[in-house]
Amino acid sequence: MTAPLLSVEAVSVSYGKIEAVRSVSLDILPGQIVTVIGANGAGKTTTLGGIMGILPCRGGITFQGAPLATVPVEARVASGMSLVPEKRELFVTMSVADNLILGAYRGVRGAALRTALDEVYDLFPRLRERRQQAAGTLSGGERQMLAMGRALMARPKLLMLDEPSLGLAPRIVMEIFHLITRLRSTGVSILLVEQNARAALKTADYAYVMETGEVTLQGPASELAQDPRVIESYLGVRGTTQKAEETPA
Amino acid sequence: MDFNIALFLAQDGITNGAIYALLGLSLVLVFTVTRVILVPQGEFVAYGALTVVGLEMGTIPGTAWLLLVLGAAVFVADALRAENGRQPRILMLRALTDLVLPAVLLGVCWVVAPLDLGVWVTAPLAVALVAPLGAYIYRLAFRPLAQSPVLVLLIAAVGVHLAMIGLGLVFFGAEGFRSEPFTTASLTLGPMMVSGQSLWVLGTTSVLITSLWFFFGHTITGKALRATSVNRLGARLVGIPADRSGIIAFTMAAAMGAISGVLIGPVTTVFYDTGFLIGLKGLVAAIMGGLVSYPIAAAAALAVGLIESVASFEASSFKEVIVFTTIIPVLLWQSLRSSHVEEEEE
Amino acid sequence: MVLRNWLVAGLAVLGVALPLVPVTPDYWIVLLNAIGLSSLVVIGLVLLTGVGGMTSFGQAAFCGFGAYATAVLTTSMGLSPWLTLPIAIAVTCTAAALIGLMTVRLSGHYLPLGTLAWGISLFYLFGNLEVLGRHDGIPTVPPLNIGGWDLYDNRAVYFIIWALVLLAAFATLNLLDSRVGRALRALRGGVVAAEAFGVNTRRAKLVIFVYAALLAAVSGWAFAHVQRAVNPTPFGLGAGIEYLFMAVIGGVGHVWGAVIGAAAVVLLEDRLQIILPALFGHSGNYETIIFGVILVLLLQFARSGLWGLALRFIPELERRAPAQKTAPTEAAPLPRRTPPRRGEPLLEVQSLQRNFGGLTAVKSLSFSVNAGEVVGLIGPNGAGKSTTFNLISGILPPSSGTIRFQGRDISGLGPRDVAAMGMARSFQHVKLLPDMTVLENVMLGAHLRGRAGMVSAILRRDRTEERRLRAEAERQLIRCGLADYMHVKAGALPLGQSRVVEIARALSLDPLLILLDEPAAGLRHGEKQALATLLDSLRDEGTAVLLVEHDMDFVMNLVDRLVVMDFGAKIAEGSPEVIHSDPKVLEAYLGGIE
Repeated sequence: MTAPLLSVEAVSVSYGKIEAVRSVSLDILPGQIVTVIGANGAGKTTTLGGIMGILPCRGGITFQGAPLATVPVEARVASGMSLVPEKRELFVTMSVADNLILGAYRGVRGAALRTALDEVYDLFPRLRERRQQAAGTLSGGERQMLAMGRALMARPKLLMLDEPSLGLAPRIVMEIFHLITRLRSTGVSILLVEQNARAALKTADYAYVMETGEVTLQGPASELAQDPRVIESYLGVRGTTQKAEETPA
Repeated sequence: MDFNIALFLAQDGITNGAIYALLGLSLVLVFTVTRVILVPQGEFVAYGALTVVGLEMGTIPGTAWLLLVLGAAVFVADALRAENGRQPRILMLRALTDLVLPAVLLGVCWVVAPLDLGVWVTAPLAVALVAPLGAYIYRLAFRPLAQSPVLVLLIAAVGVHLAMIGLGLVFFGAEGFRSEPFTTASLTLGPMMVSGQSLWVLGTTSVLITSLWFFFGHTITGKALRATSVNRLGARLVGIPADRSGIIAFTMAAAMGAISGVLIGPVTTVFYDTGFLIGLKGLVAAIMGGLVSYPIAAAAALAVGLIESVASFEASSFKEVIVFTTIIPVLLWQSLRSSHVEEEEE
Repeated sequence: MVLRNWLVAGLAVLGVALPLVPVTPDYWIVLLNAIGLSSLVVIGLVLLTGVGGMTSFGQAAFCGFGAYATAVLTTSMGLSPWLTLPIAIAVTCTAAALIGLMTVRLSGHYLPLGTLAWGISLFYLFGNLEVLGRHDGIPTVPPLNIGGWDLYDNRAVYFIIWALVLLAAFATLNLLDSRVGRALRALRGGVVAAEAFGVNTRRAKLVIFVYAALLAAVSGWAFAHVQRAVNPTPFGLGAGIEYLFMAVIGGVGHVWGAVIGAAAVVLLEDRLQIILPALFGHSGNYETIIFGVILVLLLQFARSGLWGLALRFIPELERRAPAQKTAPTEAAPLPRRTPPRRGEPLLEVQSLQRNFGGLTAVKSLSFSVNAGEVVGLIGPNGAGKSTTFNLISGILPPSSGTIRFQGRDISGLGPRDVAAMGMARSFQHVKLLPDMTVLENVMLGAHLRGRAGMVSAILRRDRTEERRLRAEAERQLIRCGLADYMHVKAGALPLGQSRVVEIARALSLDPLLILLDEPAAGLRHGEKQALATLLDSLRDEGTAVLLVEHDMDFVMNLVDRLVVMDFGAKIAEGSPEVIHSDPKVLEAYLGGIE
């Protein structure tokens, strides 16, 4: 078995006295897409915050075999972890190009920086069209693309995406998920936190289900997609629809 | 008020305004990057001016000793906190910035002070002595409070102001001083006589403001500072260390304060506590710019300078009352703009 | 408790005996008087900063108003100091009200900067006005007198000063433990929640601003007659900063911390002024340096101040409500609203629209809720549900469209007015006050059902009404199954329970319509069932419920009707059965990935 790229062991995160995430463990193998699904408030975003070092947490996290406990966020970025947060956190008053250039703050300069920029522009042609525009003037979908592009500028080994489909029109959600699949083929491992359970389970290799701060189910994504408990609770209306359809039969 | 007086007041106001602009810009810089309202900004001004005076008198100024002590304190505090470990490489680097640098500067003072080399040596040396103080003060006083609310940082800033003003009295005494002018030449423009020192002030501030513009618009470090001020979390997520941004911002603010001090030293009698009021006028300008806008802060600074010079002519004893009262309507307008019920920062 | 009583008794005996014993050095009494005078100002500052969250560097200027008012009136008009006290208070409060009207509106860090500015302005004003004697001040202020006896003796003045301090402290403690007090305590970090339950937070801020100025005026008045001279120096920015320093050292949230902080600073300053020049010579102002350094270290290592430290080691110092269950409070129930007839339209939303910049968060939305109906508002994340709630409850003004409540147009009304009409809400991101008990939080919900004001709170004439409010809050907590948590600090509850406390708080308003934003999030299965039962019983009583919720099972089994939103617009409406099979709803939730 290959060694995991990221290994999270019994991690807990608290806000003051409230424990929002309790003893969560998960692994990501190189080249894998792993998804964490669950309802609002289940602790998914909090877990990502703990992994990235934005929130203080207890438990063990290792990246490429090295423990992260005392490593600050900036150094985690330098070692190849990138987080695209739920709120995107763009530099709204700065241009699209400046946002991307800052994405490589810990990485390449000069000609290599221009190559990296071109690669991101090739992935998201719309960003090239808007490169002089302030990030704050972009639409929701473009902002998500910029946030992903900015993260990719650092050439991460592990890309963590928090609700990339949030608030986006279905067509753009589709684009984003296609892109996630494409990125995997370039060797980037992906940790995908999603509420859109169907889309996430279709894209991912392996999945974890979180409920009130704990991992309650896990398994290969294709298997979880068939699990009646998942269908019931997380495939949302679809689950109840099936029941409704079954009744007359 | 006749035309000549008006011209004279305008010249005076613009010269002072240029200084307030420098201070206002540094306050905006420090606030947007670290959320600290730099109340002690004015102390850097007084320290700058009086350090020049000290060197002119052939003594080693107190600021050189302060630098040595603060550097050592920062070195020890950081080693104790050991956030990034105590690896020899990091310790070596820190020893260089925290111990060797102050020692070298102190050595330079020791050599230079008795030689009386004139303003072209003393002025840059004074700035070099005061600028690192900013970084040390940030690391000692504010970095441990980095996650705190703005109000806590503000109270800490007042604490730093108290300590610095007390130290200022120790170093420079209660007397006021003027330093030697950069030039005694003056220029006659039509009915107006413009002093060379005023031109120096205007020239230097213009150059500084232009280079700031270039720094923020065209260098990756400058962009990273802007990014930190626009979105702190976003900046950390692309790997910009909040720490380093804070250090750079404070160093720049201290340097600009010191430069302001060096520039006004020859035209104003500077006491150990003169800086406070000057700094607060920069703050008035910065607040007019909402603490975020550089151009508005610069324009407001000129306005403050002009209001002050007119007020000192028309109602000299109420000069300060007038200058500081102008801020209230501005503050009111600022907060009315975002008037709907919002959760305030805790 | 026993320890506390002994301490209080000991301090009282010591406090009375000290000036009466002739061997006590006069200098001690001078210092104690200085501590008392500062304490008065700092108690006000504690209320302003620690409770109200408003930092002020300008309190010394208000002392100046009090001091100059009495100095001018007693010297030039020969009035008695006891006659000038009310005048000094009136002058200061008027000035404070005017300054407050301008500055209290300032949000966040602008407020302390504002106080910095007028603190300097007023100092220079005092020093330049002819009538106030310019920088020399007014040198010959008469002493206080009682029955024709002039009180030149520090020991006599001592009793007056400390009587004033105790009066101020107990008045402040009474005020904090009252209906108005709860509203004041909500100012720090709970403005939105307080407004949603009818507290006029802007007025509350002005009230404590003036109250703090009043205490400063009393201190300034006494100062003028103790010093028998007035000049601008003690009322400058430096003094203002020193008062704030005292508050921070003492522990900025506690009334007794103010006294401790004042004592610590006055005594430290006195000692330092003797020790430091001996060590370093006379050329410097060394205590300023030490104060500055202490201030920074205190913020870094002991932000709760000396009182906070004392509490950590001797928790018995604080008077606390019993942690266990107590007998329910007996009181006549509060009057209730007459509910509209079941089925009558209660809330009617028509073509509601809200834009943020170029983004349309809510797009021409129309729906209605009838009395006694439970309606669910669902939709994917970011569909505009919470914005809709904020529009209905008056937290955000709509860009266009109308909202009617009981037939009256409420679009554009603020949250206070909407609450007063009988609409209560909970928040998606829980907005409880973590340092107040659960019971106090819920009592805040009944704010609009009481009337007692500041004066009756200080005089404790509000106790009957307080018991009624308390009984109501207890009733709602028991009903929501939180009887065991009443006296726990709200910050110690897990998220799920906090949401239920929000519901209890909303119920204390006696609402006709209750808006619940994701009430079931974070609840376990059993708790969800209890919540569903509670909402069912509300429906039976005729209260209408509008709720946003993601848990489909919970919603489907509970509601009478569903409104589905996506991208700010309504895409479907109807009974749960109809919504089940609506293709547009499926599309919205599945995100088109097939």
